[in-house]
Amino acid sequence: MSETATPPGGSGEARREGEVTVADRDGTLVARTLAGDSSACDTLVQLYMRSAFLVAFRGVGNREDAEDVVQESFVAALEHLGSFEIGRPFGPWLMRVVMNRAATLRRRRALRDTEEERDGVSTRPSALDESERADLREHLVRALGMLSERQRLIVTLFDVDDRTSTEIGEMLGLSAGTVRWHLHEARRTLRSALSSFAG
Amino acid sequence: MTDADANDAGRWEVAGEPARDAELGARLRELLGDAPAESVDWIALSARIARAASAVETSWWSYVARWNRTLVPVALAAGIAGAVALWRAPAPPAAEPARGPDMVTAVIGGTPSTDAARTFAQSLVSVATVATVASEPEE
Repeated sequence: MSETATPPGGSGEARREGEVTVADRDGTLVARTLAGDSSACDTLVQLYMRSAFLVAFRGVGNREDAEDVVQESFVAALEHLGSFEIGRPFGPWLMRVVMNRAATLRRRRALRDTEEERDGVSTRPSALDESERADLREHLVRALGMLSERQRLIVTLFDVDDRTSTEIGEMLGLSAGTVRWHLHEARRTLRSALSSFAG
Repeated sequence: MTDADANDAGRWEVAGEPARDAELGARLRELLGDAPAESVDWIALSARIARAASAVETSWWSYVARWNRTLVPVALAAGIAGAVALWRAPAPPAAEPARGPDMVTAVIGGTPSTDAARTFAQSLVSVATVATVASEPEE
């Protein structure tokens, strides 16, 4: 199956036992937040801050930026809370905001790095200073760049952060099967890149 | 979705949890690092978010959203009170129908335009004559 193939399960909305409870709980908290109840807003923050940080960190790659992304994402989510569809889990909705914010920051940073390199002020070590390891990293970075945003996040959450497909599905609003399919595709691309390097 | 995709969908939904890929995981961890969740000051971060969120709440639309349950009945009551006051107020005296200038009246009345113009010019001349006579010093 190609990189652009349709993932199984279509939009892959999670439909598991217990999700209704999460959706109901989140819907109540959102409604109370909209009515001006700051304790409900705090509860939403406490519930989703950690997973938002993890997704943000995987998007931007450092703690400080990830914390900024989490803060900005919560603020953006609260500003647009009126458009949240009550009856759905809040987490996946927030994570989409986090992913978008992280991607925007990463693009902005890549542009700034390019400008700094062009101006000759880069502080990063030259690839020539590093050995085979640097080449391998480069291969891996390139292979990660070939993945979609979602696949990159899923393979990282699964193989680096040791999250289960069910947990990732709950975070991103996907079924576990859809997560497994994305994981399979991402791994295939990465393994191929690593084996081509080894060969 | 094709039949193959549908089969795939079923396969991935019923498939068990995939095994961890230790080698790939190690490579990725080396490249990307572990998420430094333990070094995050969660209390400080939630306080930052709360501060930023409170700034959001002071925006004008949040005031509208917060007060709309109060303001809508108040505005409705004020509207009804105004309508009742207008209804009970004494009717204003009937105004006399406005009379247009003679020339307009003549034209509306069907007088030919040349006659109306002549009449208008004559009225202007007579007004001017009266004004001139009135302004002359008495001897």
